[in-house]
Amino acid sequence: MVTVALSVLQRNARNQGGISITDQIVRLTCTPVSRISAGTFDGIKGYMDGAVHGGRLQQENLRLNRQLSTLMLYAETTTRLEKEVDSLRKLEGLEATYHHEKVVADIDGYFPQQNRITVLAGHDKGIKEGMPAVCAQGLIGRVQTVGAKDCQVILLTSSLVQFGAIALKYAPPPAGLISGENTATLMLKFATPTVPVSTGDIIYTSGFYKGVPRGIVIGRVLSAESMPEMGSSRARVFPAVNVGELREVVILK
Amino acid sequence: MNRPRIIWVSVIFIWICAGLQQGLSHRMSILGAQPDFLFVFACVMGLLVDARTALIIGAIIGFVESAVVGSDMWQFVLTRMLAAWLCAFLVESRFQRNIGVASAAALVCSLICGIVFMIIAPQPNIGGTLKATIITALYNAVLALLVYFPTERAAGLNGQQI
Repeated sequence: MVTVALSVLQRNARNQGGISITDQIVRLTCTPVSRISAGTFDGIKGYMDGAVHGGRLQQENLRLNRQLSTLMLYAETTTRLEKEVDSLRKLEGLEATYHHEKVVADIDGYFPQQNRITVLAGHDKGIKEGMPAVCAQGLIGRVQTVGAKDCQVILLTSSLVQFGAIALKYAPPPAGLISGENTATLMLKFATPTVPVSTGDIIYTSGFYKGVPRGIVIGRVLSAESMPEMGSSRARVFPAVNVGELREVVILK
Repeated sequence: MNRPRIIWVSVIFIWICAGLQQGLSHRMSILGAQPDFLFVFACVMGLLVDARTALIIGAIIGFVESAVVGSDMWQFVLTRMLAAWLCAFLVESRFQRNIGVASAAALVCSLICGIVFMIIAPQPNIGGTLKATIITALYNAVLALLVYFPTERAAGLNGQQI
């Protein structure tokens, strides 16, 4: 009886994009142990890596710093151009596309079998259901449930979520819907019988889903096939982000 | 069996295991498989208590794990109860509990419950999930070696048989 009641409570809360009160209590209670263990593990791993790869890491750091200072010049120009695009869209009475406040948050748990990550940002940081989670390499997924101080992001590799996807290389760019095929690959489906993409093409978000801006990298095409008898075509895509290596994510508000 | 002591040990160990599951599990991933601290504790406690208590502990662990993972509760509750009960059944019916039995029980229960989990919560990539289940089972068997002694000692049951 208790199990059924808790299960119903959990499901109802999730359907509303929230986390049930019991789940929140459990997670908040576990957080101190989780943070201490993660911190200790990262500290030991960092120390070992430093001892083994110290020289190489120092050189790599110098090289990355040089690259960063070069990229900063482009970043300034990009920001200025984005603002110009937004102000022009505003003049036309359209919604701004690039203005997304960014919330950087730590990943507190990764559950590959369930295609979910727990992120330490919730209602306290203005996170809402449906917001996209990204990192430097590309799109990670979408916020599914939000608690007081944490949220869960359902990953791109889940078959339960779909994103609008586009191959910007072509004119006009073919658009389709992408969702998880398994924990390693994604499936992009087009509503046209001819395959408009080929192996190696980069797939981006189309921007047709509210809240997910256009142009975020999703992944690279592994193979493509046309299905004329079905009147459609599809492509297998390898995601750009390896979630297992991430420690932080950026949630776009 | 000292029941209040079992309760306290269970509460503290479940709290620690849930924290480790949340913060450490994905950092210890090998070939895409992660250790399952809560599951290992369910198996070890199953060896230390009677079948009825094992079922209760399994249900609590299932609830805690589903809250940590953010997935459907009943699948976790069912598989963890099954694991804990199987371990208790092993000790009550045939085997004497010791560290070797704990490791073997964690391995077998991980495989059985992993397959049951795959049936009740179907995954798109069966081959990959099966591979992850086998690696996780091996991982859990090694973890059980580390968890068994502290749990047995904390529960005040070292050397005692049911």
